[in-house]
Amino acid sequence: METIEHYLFNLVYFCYTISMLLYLIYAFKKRDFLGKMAFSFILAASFFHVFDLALRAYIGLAVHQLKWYVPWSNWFESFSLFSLIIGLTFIAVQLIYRLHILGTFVTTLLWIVISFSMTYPLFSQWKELNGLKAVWLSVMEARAIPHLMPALQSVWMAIHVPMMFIAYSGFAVAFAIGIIYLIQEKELKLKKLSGVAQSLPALEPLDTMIYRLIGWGFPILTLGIILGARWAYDAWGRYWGWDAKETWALITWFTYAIYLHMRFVAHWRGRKTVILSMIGFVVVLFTYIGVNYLSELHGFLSGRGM
Amino acid sequence: MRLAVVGLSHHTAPLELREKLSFGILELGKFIESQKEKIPVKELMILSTCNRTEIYTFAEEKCDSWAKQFLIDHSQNQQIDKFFYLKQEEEMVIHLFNVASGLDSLVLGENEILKQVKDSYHLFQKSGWTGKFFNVLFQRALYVGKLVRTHTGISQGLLSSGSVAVSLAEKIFGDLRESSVLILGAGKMAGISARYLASKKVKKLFVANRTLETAQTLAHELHAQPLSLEEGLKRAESADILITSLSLAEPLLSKKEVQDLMKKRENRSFFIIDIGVPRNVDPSVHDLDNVYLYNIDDLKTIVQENIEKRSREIENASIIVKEKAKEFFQWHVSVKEGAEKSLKHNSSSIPGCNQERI
Repeated sequence: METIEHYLFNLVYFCYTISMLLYLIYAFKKRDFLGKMAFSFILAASFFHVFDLALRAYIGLAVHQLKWYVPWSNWFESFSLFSLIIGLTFIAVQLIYRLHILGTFVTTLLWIVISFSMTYPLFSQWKELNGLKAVWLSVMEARAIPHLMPALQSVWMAIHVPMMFIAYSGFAVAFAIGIIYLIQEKELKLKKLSGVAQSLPALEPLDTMIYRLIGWGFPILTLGIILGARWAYDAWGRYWGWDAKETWALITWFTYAIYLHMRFVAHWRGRKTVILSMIGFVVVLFTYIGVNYLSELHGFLSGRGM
Repeated sequence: MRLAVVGLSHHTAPLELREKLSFGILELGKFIESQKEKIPVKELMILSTCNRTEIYTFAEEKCDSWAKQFLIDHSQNQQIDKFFYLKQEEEMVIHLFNVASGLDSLVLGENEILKQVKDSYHLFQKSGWTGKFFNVLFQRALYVGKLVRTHTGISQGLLSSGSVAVSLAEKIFGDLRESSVLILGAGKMAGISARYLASKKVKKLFVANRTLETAQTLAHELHAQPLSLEEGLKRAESADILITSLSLAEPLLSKKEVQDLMKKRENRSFFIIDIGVPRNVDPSVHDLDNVYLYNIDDLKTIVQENIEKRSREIENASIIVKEKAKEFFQWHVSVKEGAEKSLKHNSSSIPGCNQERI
């Protein structure tokens, strides 16, 4: 069963990789069919990815008899789910706006996330690993179905984590759009219209897209944080303890709150707000990854919380 | 038996001469029909545009003197002989493919010529002047014309200030149907840019001028609303695109004024095209967030860059043309010798083609 899961995940990874490569080629050649092919590959990847997670859930619950197991219980699974939700968010955005060039940036980001999901142990073990076989074993170990610590065996795990990821993936796509916006804006300000800018979408619609994504992501983030507090009450007996993760989640929340405030009340638009939204995503990444090395309680992903 | 082309073009002959030799396509058809008996060629195609008049022939004997005489008769001018060029066999094929690709055009890579070749070819095909060779040759020329345009940047990049202004506006606002345009000063230059924008069906179009009558004339032509200059300035905040072409000693809009406008606009992007001499808008306005100020020199610089980009593609285009001409000519020779080679529209092996699109 686990072998099937491994093959399935390999297939998922393969499809994401092909999709990214096609989008990268598209960015240079500007052939519509490349964009369409890339899109069908990310569709396929997401489709298989959903099956992969379902299969993992089945293995965890039925075969390993883990109670309350959800397939986002360790760092690998968490990144895996994150990349799936980025993919699904991108697909939704793409169905509305039809912007192939966006795929170039989003799939690259997604590919980095999913590659990191399997290879993160390598960064700390690098010196001890000898030869490709050891590297491969380490990767496969990262992909194994985990044993659960008590704090994670909760129904809130199933709700809090995906909710945060839905918000985060909205911010991730907004970040990718932000990159495109800044490139286009720079070219228009410099009055140099290079080949790149010729195919980029217009500024105002990009700005609106970022605004909408954050407009959707923010309430979900808010709810996710509240549910997280509820879970903290179950697990540790208090709603809020100023743990590093909790503090940074609040900083994330404030960053996007400031973005929305500036945009909505102070009527900031364009470059300044776009940069603010991109800073927001950097904070997200720090909250998500960096904090695991700081937090005692939320350190389950790095193993410190054990 | 040989392929040949005799003709003159903007490279060799002045406009007055080209005008005299320019045939209307219907007139040409009738004329050829009336001359049918006297024409000593097997296959014939005449291409006549305002930039060139060329007679393509395939004949048993050398027939360039007939073609020359034909043109001399038509222009009723014995002196034009020195403006002619004659290209034969493979040279003729290369020339035709160059013409179809827009490589021989006054405006490099322009698209109109491809349609002109197509129309002329269809005319001669219908009246039975083209046979096995010319049918293949001209269909091939149309194919090469398209191939060169899609595989090189020869016909990319806009070549007029007006169209560049529109494409810039589209880069800022996307679909212009939601954008309002205000034109301050109804001069000739403003009219040119405005016409390009009007063709994009913008949401609202206002023309304001010091003398209202002039504004009305241009507004009428563009289906715009005419305004006095004062009224126009009052509406400046509601315009997404502003074109100014007033002759004023002092700038019309200072940085401070545009800053105030942007506050009222809630920082929605503002595109200003300043055609006025001296400038109507303080250049430092461009430093403000969400304001994009382009003056006429900026637009011209972009046009110039596009022209240079196109000319950098000549080499790539010529490689394709030469390769395809060689292919056709080899086929042509093989048919004449009785062993027909196959000739396919195969773009998979385009030599040295630079697929990067600009």
